[in-house]
This record gives sequence, structure tokens and C-alpha cells, in this order.
Amino acid sequence: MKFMVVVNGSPSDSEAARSALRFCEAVLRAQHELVRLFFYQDGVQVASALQQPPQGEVAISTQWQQFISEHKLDAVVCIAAALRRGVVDAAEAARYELPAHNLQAGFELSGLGQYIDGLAQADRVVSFGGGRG
Amino acid sequence: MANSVCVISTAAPYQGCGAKEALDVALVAATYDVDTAYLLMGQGVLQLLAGQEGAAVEQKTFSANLQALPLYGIETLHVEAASLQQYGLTEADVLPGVTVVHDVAVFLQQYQQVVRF
Repeated sequence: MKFMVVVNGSPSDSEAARSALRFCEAVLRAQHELVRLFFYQDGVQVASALQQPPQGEVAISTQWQQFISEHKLDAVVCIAAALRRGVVDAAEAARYELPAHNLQAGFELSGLGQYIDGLAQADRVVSFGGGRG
Repeated sequence: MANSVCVISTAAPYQGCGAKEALDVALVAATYDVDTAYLLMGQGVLQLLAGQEGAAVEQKTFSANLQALPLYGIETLHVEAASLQQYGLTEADVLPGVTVVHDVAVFLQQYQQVVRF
């Protein structure tokens, strides 16, 4: 079965990013396919390379980066959501004359069209975080 | 492309960008010729309130964004009846031309994918 997994929740204020990673690991162990990972809303913060967690913890961005790299996954971060939250790559930093860039390796900034494309390709879309009840 | 998607928004307007980001997903889906519905539930019904003036909080008036939906081919705004009732609203309090959904479970069966923000 083909899955797209979406992370909408903040890595610091929700469990979304951690739950989503454990779910993705289970998806692959069960021999299913991850057609795309999509990071939207506060979930774009997962892709910041500047996280510095307390001693003994590994940054969630690093955990995801290792998972993405090991399994050669397509990890897309919504560019509009990222820019408004201060997650930028070198190209966007140059375009907007921002003082720095911080996109973690393995993640790519792109548009919501990738999300819609994922909806088409995937048998199941599973989203973590977001929503206000 | 997916044949159809229902985008559910539970986000109130003027509370950060949650409402806009849900709406953006619906607009982009419609741009890609996906049969798209936009359904408001929970606090999302507040996006529909008539008489919004964003200038009072130094923001764009959110309901103006909803008026753009027909330009993208989304002819109907849907709202859950129970949520309207929860917030003490009737059709008179919200934008004109809204379609009230009484049984969301049945409504969602029409759509290949359902996403909620």
C-alpha cells in the first residue's frame, strides 16, 4: 500500500513529529511504500537545522534526516508555510536577503502542488498534528 | 491527480494562519482540477461570519478569501450543522450561499481523500 504522511504539528509543542516518524518506520517494516513525506503548518519546524535539544536528546530534525537519507525518501516542506515561520534554504535566503538559512539536509522546499500530487498517488494519507477541534 | 478531496477546516480566522493554510490546500487542489469541497467544522464556522472587518486587528478581512473560491471552481462553501448550532449561529449570521451539511459521515463518502486542518 502507498502512503503519504503529513506532519502539521509543531515539533516542540506536539508529539506529531515523533509519532509520525514511528509510524513511518512501521510502514516500511511492514513492506509498504512511503510515496512522500509532507511538512506543513507548524510541522515545517521539523526541518530546521538549528534545533539544539538538551543533552542526551537527539534533535527531531536529525532523526528525520537520518530516516529520509537511509530510505531515500521524498521529504517536502511547504515553501509558503516555511517562509512565514523562518525555515529557509540558501536560495530563498538570497532571494529575500535574509541573514541566514537553516533548512536541514534531506528536506526540500516546494509548493502545495506536491501535497495534492501525493493525495493522488497515495492509497492512504495519514496526517499528524494540526487541527483545533 | 486524485479525483476528489474534501478539505475540512476547524480553524478560527484571525488566530494565526491556520484558516488561510487550510483554504490554500483547497484552492491548490482545485487548481489541479481535483473535485474539491471545503467544509467548515468546529471553530472553522467562524470563518463564515458576516460583517468581518480585519482592519480592526490590522489584518486582511478573512471572509474576502472565501469569496475567491468560485474563481477556482469551488462553487459551494459547506458548513456542519452541529458546529453552527454549537456556536449559536444560524444561516442568517453567516455569508450567503453556504450549504449546511447535516450528516458529515455521509457527505464525506463522496470524496476519495479527506484532509483536516
